[in-house]
Amino acid sequence: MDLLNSLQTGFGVALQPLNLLYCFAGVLVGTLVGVLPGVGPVAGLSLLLPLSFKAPAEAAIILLAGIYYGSMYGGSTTSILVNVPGEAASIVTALDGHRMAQQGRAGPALGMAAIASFIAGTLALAGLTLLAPALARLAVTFGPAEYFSLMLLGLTVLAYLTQGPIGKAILMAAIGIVLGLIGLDPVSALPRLTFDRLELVDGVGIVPVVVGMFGFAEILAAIQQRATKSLAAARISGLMPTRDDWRRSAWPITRGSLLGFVLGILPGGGAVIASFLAYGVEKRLSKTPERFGKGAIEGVAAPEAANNAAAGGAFIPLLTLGIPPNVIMAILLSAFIVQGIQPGPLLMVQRPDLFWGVVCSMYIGNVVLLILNLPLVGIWVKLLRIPDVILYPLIMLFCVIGVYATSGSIFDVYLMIGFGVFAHLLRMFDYEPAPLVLGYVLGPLLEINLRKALIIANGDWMFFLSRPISATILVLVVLVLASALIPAWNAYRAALPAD
Amino acid sequence: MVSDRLVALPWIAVGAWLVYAGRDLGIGSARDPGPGAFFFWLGFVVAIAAGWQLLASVRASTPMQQRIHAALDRRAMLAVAATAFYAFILEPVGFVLSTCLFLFALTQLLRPGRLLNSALFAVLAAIASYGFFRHLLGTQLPAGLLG
Repeated sequence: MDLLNSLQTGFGVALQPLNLLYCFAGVLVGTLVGVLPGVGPVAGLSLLLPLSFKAPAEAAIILLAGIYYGSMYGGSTTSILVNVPGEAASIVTALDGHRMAQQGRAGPALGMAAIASFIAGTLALAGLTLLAPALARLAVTFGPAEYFSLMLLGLTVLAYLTQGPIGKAILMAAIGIVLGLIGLDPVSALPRLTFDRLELVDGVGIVPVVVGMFGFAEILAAIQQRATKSLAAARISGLMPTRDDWRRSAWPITRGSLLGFVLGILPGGGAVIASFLAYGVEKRLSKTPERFGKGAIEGVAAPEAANNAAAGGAFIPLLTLGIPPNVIMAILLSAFIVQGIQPGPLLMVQRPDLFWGVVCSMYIGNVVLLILNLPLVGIWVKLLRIPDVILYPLIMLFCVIGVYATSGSIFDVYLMIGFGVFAHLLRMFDYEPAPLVLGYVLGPLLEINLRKALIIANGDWMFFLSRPISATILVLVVLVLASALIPAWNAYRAALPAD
Repeated sequence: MVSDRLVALPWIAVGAWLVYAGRDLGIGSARDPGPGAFFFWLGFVVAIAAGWQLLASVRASTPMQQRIHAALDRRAMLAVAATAFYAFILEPVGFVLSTCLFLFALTQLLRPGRLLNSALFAVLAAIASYGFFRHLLGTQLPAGLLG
């Protein structure tokens, strides 16, 4: 009954005209972000983060969440039609989706991608609706030791799953934590690493960091690569999959949804890993694995289900524990903080309207996406034809104005440019910026929880191991680090795409 | 790799500096960690991770020049310079004029020639973005010379 009341509250909020408008705008922009190669969900969210600050809290989070799960839908369209994945989670979809398009079956491939995304997205939301209250109740019992251990696990797993050597990823996470700690010490109010600059007393803002490292740096990379798009979109006729397509796809959608949801919840997991794993699982389970890569519809259904389910699952640790499991959720966490809201176990009690409003808006957003995507396929493909000479300058302008509009400070614009160049150079030397940004967001929380735990424990480090949940999580951290020494796992990590 | 070796060394220096800065801020004790404690320990993490990279790179060798050349791509660096100059003139010159210049410079950088097309795009985009940010979103933008 509580759940029904909560859902009623949530739909009451989500169906308010302003929130509906933001939900619609979010999924529309998200689809666009997913469609355009080079502007993935991280860059898209970073660029649009400053715009959300002017909106009411519910509307802002609904908008940003819409961009995230909307981008999962959009990425598949260009993967299938022109073999250009709009974002990393749709790379696998291109393997079979584009082959289907070449065989004259672009319509069923697009239809199945949209329907699998819708089913998985809705199942993940049902999971979120049912699991979140239980997890929030459990999280209330967590103390600083558990929070510290959980955040450490999140950072370790993300570092582990990031492309490139784990040593580089750990280094990036540590630098991110340092950046997050710049400013006044929360206990003694002593300025730390501010170099006597007044602008740094409040710390380095999230907007210059994420816009610089994911928006500006992406465009620098694109300018450097001088990539030219060769687009020959396949003809689309009849979007509905056949009865045989349905028969083949039913289980892959179910398995992909489950796998994606679980991977989405886990720290460090996310849509990219989920889509790759789901594809691998289906190929291994198939009686005809040789069809994969040659236009098997299961190769479209499973990864699309997995990446959308992962997008839904990732909201659970953010909303119930206040811990972002990946970089995208870290950006969303910063949006919450800017709005003066701390996500966590008490969010559901203190702001049920916000919590359930965001969850219910995602149900609505999924339906909107299904309705929007298929009829507008032609428009999305046309958008790919916007010349780089127009697109890149506009994105760079958006980076500058987005940062300037947030703080009104040119210093922040210089910071953004600096972080952009920094991320660009780092990538040249195989350092991925994702662990840095997660470290930046989690840094202050890590520090304060560690200090609290040590004060409670009277300086006894064994306190972290004396509490069962904290000890279990720390054992997992050690296991993850130890497994980095296993060559087979390293080979798997090396095969993962960046982002 | 040679490039990894070269990059690992400054990271070790950063780690050492963090250890120093952490000590300077005050490490405190385990019972009451000071404001520099986290920096102190993170300095060690950075130095050890960089040292690990240094050791891992000793055996392999790949051309450094190629990566440096890629990192310092002329067009990308000119785009950075144009953006920095844009930030420099944004407040004194104003949004519309500086944005026109910025967009014109970037379009010429990406595709030299077609001056009239570039100029037309720059002016229209600057005015449209001013309208979008200033009037639709209510963002405060510097008026500068036109103010």
